Amino acid sequence: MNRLINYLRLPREVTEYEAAHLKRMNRVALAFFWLHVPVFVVIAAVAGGGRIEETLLLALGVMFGPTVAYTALKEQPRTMSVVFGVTAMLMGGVLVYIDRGPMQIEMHFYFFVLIALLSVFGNPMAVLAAAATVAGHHLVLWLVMPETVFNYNATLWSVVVHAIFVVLESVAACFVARSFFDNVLGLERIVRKRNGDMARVLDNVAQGFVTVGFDGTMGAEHSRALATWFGEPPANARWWDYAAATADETAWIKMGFEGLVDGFMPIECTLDTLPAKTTRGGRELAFEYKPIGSPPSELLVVVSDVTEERARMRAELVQRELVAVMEKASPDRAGFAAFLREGAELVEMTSRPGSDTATVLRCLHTLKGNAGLFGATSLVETAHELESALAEQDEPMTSKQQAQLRDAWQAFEARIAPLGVSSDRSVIVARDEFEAVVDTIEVPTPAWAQRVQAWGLDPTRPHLARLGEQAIAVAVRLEKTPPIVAVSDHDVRLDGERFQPVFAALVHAVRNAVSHGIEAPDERVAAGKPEAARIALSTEVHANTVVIEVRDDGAGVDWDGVRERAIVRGLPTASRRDLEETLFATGFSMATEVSEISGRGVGLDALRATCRDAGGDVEIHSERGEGTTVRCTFSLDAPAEQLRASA
Amino acid sequence: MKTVLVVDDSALVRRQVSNALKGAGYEAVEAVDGLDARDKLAATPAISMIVCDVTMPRMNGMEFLGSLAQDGTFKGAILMLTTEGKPELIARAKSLGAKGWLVKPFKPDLLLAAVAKLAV
Repeated sequence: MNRLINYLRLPREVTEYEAAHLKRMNRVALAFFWLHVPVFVVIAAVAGGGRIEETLLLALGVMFGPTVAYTALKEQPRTMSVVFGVTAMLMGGVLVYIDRGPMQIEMHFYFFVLIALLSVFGNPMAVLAAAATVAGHHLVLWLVMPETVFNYNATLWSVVVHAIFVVLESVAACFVARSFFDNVLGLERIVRKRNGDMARVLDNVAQGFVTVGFDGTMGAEHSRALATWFGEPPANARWWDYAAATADETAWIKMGFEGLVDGFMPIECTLDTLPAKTTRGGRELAFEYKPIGSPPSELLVVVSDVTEERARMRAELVQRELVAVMEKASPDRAGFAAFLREGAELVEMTSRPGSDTATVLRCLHTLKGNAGLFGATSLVETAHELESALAEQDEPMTSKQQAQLRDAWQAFEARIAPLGVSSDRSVIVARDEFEAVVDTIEVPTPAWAQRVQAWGLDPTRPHLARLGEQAIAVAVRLEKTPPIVAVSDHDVRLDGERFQPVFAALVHAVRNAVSHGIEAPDERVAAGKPEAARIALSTEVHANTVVIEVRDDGAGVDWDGVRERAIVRGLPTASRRDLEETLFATGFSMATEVSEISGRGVGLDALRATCRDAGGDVEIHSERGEGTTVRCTFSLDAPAEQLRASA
Repeated sequence: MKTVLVVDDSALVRRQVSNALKGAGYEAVEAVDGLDARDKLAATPAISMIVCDVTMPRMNGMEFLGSLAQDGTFKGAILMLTTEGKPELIARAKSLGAKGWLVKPFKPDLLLAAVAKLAV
C-alpha cells in the first residue's frame, strides 16, 4: 500500500527543470481549456436545443476555478496540474451535457481523451483527481438528472462499465505519467545525485584524474588529489602548462600532444614518449595516459603519488645491491679492492679540468663495466645515465653531473664500508694457507723466504695513520689548530697479536701531545714556530729492536711544574730520570682540570703497563720549548720481525 | 617483404631492432652510422623505412637526416630512436623529415606498431 502511495505521490522536491516544464504545461492547459468556451458554444448552437447561454455559463463557471487558481498557485505548479485534472473532467461533463442528441454517448470519448492528455503533467495525482471527479460527476448526475449523462435509460451497470473503462485508462495514464516523471522530469535529480556520487569519488580518491583533449584542453572535472599537487587548474588551462614543472617539460609534453594530433605514429608509441613522472612539493608523481573513445579523441590522465613506493624500491635496490656486491666481492676481494681503487680514480678523472668529453665517456664506460662485474647496480645506472646524457648534449660534463657521479660513488663506498674491503692494495690469503706455505720454508735466509714470512705480519702504517687521525680529531674537539701529522712506518711489519694493544695504548701519548704539548697558535708564532704543530709518528727497526715513536714540536714538559707536584706527592725528584718516572706514576697529571680528553693521570701509566706486557718499555724525552718524544722500544726475536719489508 | 634500414652505432641495439623486425616478417639492413647508412641506402633500393639513432660517430642521426632531406631521394618514413625528454631534438628531427620517434630503451611491441604504421 505504501509503495502504491509512494508511486502515485511524487517526491517532494520540485527540480528547476520540472517547475519550468509544469509552468509551460499549465499555461498551455489554461489556454486550451479557455478555448473550450467558444467551441462549446458553437457545438451547442449546431446541436440545437437552444442551450447556448446555458453552455456559455456552464463553461465559464468551470473556467472560474482554474483561472483563479492559476494566479494563486503560481509557485505550486504541481497543485495547479491537479486542478487541471478536475477542470478537464468538468469540461467533459459540459460537453456531454450540451449535446443531448444521438451523439451524446460518443461525446463520452472526450473523457478518455482528456485523461490521456493529463499524463503530460507527469503527475499521477492529476490523473487520479480527474478519475475521482468523473466518477463523482456521473454517479451524482445519473441519480439526479440521468438525461444529462445518457441518451437512453441507462442502468447502474452502464455506469459501472463506464467506470471500469475510466479505471483502466487511469491506471495506464498514471503509469505513463510516473514514467515520464522518473525518466524525464526527474532526470535532473538523478543526474545531480550521480554528480554528487561522482564528486564524492573524485574528492576522496588518492589518484589524480582528469581528461585531456588532444589539443591539451583539460576536462571540467578532476579529482581533488590533482589540485592538491598541481593547484586548481586555471580556466582554459592547457595540460602541458599545468602539469609541467619546467619550460623543458612543457615543450616535451606539447611535442607529444602534437604527435597525437598529427597521428603519424600509433597512439601508444606517442604516449610512451610523454614524461612518465614529475615532482611537486617533494612528492614523486607518476603519469599514466589512457586513450578514451574509438577512435581515441582524448586522454584520461591518471596521476599517482609514488613517493613512498619509490623510496621503498630504492631502499630495496640498495639492499639487493649490497647483497650482490657481497656475493661477488667475497670470492675476489683483491679484485674488488682493485675495482674500488680504479673506480675512485675514474670518478676523479671525470671531473678533472683537463678531461675532454671522450675521456669522460671512456671513464664512465669503464666504470659502468667494472661496476657491473661486482653487481654495483647503483653505479651502473648512474654511469649509464650520464653516458647517455653526455652522448646527446653538446656541452662537456656539467658540474652538476660531476657531482651526481661523485655522490653516487661516495654513497656506494659508504654502503660497502662495513664489508671491510678497502681500496688499499692488498692480497687476502687465508691464514692456514699462508702458514702452510711458511712451513715449507726450510732455510729462512734467502731474501724471498724472509719476505714471505713477513707477509704474516701486520704493516704498521695503518696503525700510525689511525693514531694521526685521532690526533687531528682531538685537536678539533679541543678547538685547537689541527696539527700536521707525519707518518713514517719504514715498511715495518709487526706481529699483530703482540703489538695491537701497544698501538691502542699509544693513543694516550697522542692525546697528551695535543692537549698538553701543543701551544696556542699565538704562543707558537711568538716562539718562532709555524702556527700548526707537527706530530711525527714512526716505527723503525734498528738491529733487533723496533722503536715506535710519538713526537711533537710543542711546549715540552714543564719539568719545574713536575718537580713541584712530585714534591707534594712525596715522589723522588733528585734527577731528571726521577722526574721522568714521575710522569708515569699512577694518577699523576699535569692538567689543572679533568677534561674528556685527558687529565686523570692514567694515560702514560697505562701505556707503560701495556709496553711492558708486550716485552718492551716506554720512555719520555722532552726539552722545554722544543717538544716531547714518547718512545717505545721492543726487542724482536723472530728474524722475520727484524725485517724491514720492502714494498 | 618490406625492408627496414636500422642505423645505430651500438651493435646491441642494432641486433635487438633487427631481431624484432625479422621476427615480424620484415627484412632488416644494418648500418653503423650515417655515412654507412647512405652507402646501404644506395646499395639497397628496396629499403622503404629507416629506424635511426641520434648519437653516432662520423655522421650522426641529425646530419644523416639533413643529408637525406637535401638530396630528397629517400621517400620512405624515418623513425628516430632518442632518449626521453628532448623536445628540441625531436623538433629538429621533425623539421628534417622524421615522421616519428621512440624513446630508448625501445620496447619491441611499440617499435613494431610504429613500423607497421609507417612502413609503406
